[in-house]
Amino acid sequence: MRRVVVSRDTIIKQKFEVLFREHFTGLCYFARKYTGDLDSSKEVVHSVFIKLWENRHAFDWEKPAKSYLFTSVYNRSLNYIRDKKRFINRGDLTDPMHVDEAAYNDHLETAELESLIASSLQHLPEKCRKVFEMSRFEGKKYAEIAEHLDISVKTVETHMSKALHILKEALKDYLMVVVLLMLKNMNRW
Amino acid sequence: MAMATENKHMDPAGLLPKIFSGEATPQEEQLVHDWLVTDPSHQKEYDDFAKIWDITAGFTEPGTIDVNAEWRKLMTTLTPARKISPRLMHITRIAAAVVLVSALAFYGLLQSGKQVNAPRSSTLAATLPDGTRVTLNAGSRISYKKGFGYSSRNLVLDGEAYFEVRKNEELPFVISAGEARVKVTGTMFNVKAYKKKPEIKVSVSEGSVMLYKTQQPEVQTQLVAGETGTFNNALGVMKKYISLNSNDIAWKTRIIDFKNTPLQEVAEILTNTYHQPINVDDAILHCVITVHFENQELDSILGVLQSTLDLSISTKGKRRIISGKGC
Repeated sequence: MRRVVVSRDTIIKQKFEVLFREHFTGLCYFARKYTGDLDSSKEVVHSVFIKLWENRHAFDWEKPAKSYLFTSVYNRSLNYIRDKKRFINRGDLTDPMHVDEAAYNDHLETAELESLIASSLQHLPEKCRKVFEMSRFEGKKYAEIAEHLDISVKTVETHMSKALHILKEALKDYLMVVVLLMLKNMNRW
Repeated sequence: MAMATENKHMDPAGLLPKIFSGEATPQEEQLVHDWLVTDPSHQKEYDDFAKIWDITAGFTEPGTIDVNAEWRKLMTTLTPARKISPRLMHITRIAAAVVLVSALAFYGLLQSGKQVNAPRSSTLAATLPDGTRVTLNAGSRISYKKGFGYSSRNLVLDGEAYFEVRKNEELPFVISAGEARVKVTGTMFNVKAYKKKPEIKVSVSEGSVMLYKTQQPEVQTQLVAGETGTFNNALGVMKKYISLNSNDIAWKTRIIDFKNTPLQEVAEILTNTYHQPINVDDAILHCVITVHFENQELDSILGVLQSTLDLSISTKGKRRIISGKGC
């Protein structure tokens, strides 16, 4: 029997990386609800992970860190808005003083769903994703997509079918709760 | 009747987007309608696809988060800056000026990235910008982008190489080979990843490495010293063995250990080690031999095989052909 001695530092480093890879996308979509754009939300999330790394020796790595991460990102997002407000007065930004708990929880759930959709889209085969995005996000018709990508309309159909099947499989656990969530967030989307 | 059969086997997912986006013809709408009523389970399927359609609505900018790139970015930020004592400051300033000048000259080199090729008939040893020592087997090559050793330590391998990775916890060393990734911080190991072959083989002689698929960086298999990991690019299957075949790195160490090794495998190992094509007659492919060689030339090894197993060896151009009466 071989014994492998792994140092505490290595374990922390690995847990840190796992946390980052698991939650980065979701945290960004969550922060975006407050900061308003993806670039600044990435900045906020990076700053939270930098802080966590600096405090890594005091942090309790045995406990689940997800709620810690989301709360930190929430607080930093509010700081970000506050700092930004000093320079420009944007009326459409959420006022930190008036954020309610219910909205926070809704944001959290939709952010998770959004990150799941985003990563599912990334896992589609390249051509398939392209076709799906052109249809879904650019609102192109099948014939336009076919012409643009120099493929037949039948092939466009096949790609769309494949994309929907893959997404359905990836999101199957969410499909149960999704309607409820969507109704709750309809006015925010 | 033909219509009904068609409906039964119709895959609605191709037509549904047309329905959802209002692009379907009346005939297609009818097809979907017929399909819906043939089986109650079809309604559920329809609803699921409709949900997928609806929830993907908010994605006007998909694919803008690349977690791998963001992780690398974070790693660069976290790499600790060295503390400099005030006494050393002015010396550092002068040194910094010198470094800046050479850094500017060096920057040109980094810009383009680099490729290291081993000749077809011999191995090549090289030291990478981060201090890692790499030995390339004949005909193998590695390439890396600008900034290697500074912002990242990622390289692409085609062929076989033995790595002695300089330890750097902050900047992981990542080798890409097909769909497989091998990640380490500092250790010694061999990677066999020829583009022509579906299987990538990682043999770890010291420390530990992580093996994972490009598409699934979160699922990592740890290999420690004495272990071997394989990844089949064609099947996408990863395997781990708690053993190490020292002959896998014979091309570098010139140490060969045959233990009841069939001649077929003997020929493969010798070819990989000495970069000379060797063929074995079908009749003796399964004959085994047990013998140990250190730093021997190919011909003296073949000489030992010849007299031990009573074989005959002929040459045809560069190719050596081993034949015999069987065993």
